[in-house]
Amino acid sequence: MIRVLASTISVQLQQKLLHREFWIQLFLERILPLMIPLLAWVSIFDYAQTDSLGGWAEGDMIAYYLLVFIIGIFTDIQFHYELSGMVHMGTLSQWLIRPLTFLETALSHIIARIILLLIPGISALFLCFWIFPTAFVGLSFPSLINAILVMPLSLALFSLLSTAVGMCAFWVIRTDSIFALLMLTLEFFGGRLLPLDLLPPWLERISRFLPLRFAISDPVEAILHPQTASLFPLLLGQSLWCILLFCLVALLWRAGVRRFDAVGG
Amino acid sequence: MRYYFSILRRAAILHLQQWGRYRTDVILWLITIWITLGIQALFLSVTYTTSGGNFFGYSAHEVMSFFGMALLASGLAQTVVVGVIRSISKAVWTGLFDHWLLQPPPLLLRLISEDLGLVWYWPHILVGSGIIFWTLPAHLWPLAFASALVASTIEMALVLLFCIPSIRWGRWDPYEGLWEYLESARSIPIGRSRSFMLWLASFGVFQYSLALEVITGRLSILILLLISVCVWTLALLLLKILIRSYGSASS
Repeated sequence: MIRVLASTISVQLQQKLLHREFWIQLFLERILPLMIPLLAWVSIFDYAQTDSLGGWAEGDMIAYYLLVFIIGIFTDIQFHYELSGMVHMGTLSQWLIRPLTFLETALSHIIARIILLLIPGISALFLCFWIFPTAFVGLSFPSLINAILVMPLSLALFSLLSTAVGMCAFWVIRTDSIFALLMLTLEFFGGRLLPLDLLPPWLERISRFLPLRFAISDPVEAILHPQTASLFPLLLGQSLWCILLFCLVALLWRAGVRRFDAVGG
Repeated sequence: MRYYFSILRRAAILHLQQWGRYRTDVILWLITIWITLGIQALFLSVTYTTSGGNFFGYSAHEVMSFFGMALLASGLAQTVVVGVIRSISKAVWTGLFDHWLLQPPPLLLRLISEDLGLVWYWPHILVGSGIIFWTLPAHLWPLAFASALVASTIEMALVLLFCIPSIRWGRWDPYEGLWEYLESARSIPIGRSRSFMLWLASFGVFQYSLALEVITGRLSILILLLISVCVWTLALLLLKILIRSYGSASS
């Protein structure tokens, strides 16, 4: 089974690497939007000639946005786009008759995408070290351990969300709007645009009940401040949300595939 | 001119009829747009408050005016050119573009009239105009609307510059990325930030900061107009080159 999965991943990867436009598109749709809040805060700190704004030191703010930036690149899964394409073009039927379950099919697409994202992700990381050499000075060995522990579940959360949205293609024409709606709201409440403690208290409270806090803001906190951040509630929250989303994906798949007529949704 | 307007009128009617059938998609999109506007306003407000007013020298009043003008201009631009973003790559990929080339000129009008963005972008126009009326004194309204209009033409040309390479490379489909970039970058005024990196990253929305400077009297609207002419010249030149190099199997 692992051999079949590995060769499927390899085919996916080769197919994706064929399209050179992908790199420019990734730069436009993910890297630039993630960079703008970071650059804006750096400029605001420079303009205000101060070391601290809203209780955040300049170094901490830069490190926060850099980590959000890196998480943002690796979590650009976009499986909803591929799945909705398969459903509407009818090509999903090709996957249904292959010796893979849907879970394995989805996994092969997602892993191929993550491997592909390693190239811009690692390049971005080095670029960050070069532009902001002092940003990660405070990071220690426990930070690295925390990153290794929390990042896979962050990736899993984003992947499951993307898959769940893709499943909506069985019922609606365009899943882009659903994905945009979900990601805009969830990423905002996850701390992508602003650190959550800068939000008004009533908005910050809402974020506690949403999944991406456990995929963006809390992992960043765990990496930046390993001594003070509590890892157990974070891992528990990540695991619970992953289980919940996995059940949702399974339910949507069962209902959706019954509706699918193999000549387009 | 009457002929062109009749084509645009027909395109508007078809656009409304087409999307009237997919109400779920439209409603979801409109919810997305309203939430986007809310998030942008919140981001701007929190950033301004956290900076303690040291926001590149912009007053709260100027920041609000910027937000209104940027929304209005972006709404106008996207209403006109969204069809190009959404359909040109698909048209080249499916071979439909051959038929577009056979239709009566101008091709630019054909590209635009494939689909309009009225259904999607009216919240931008509505909220943007509302903010302009609310924040600016009445004597500045004509200048604010004129600046927003000119800034919107710059966005239209930039969108064209980004999308028309699909004529040569059919796989180039910047639809989602361009939308996300423009929506994210447009949140804050950056003209006075003196940060070259921020200017560079915000190249697609710089015109809104310039439009704000027209209102504050620091920049002539003629300069904004000149930038628009330059960007449009580039876009039309690129369109001409790409049409010449187009082969129906180019994708």
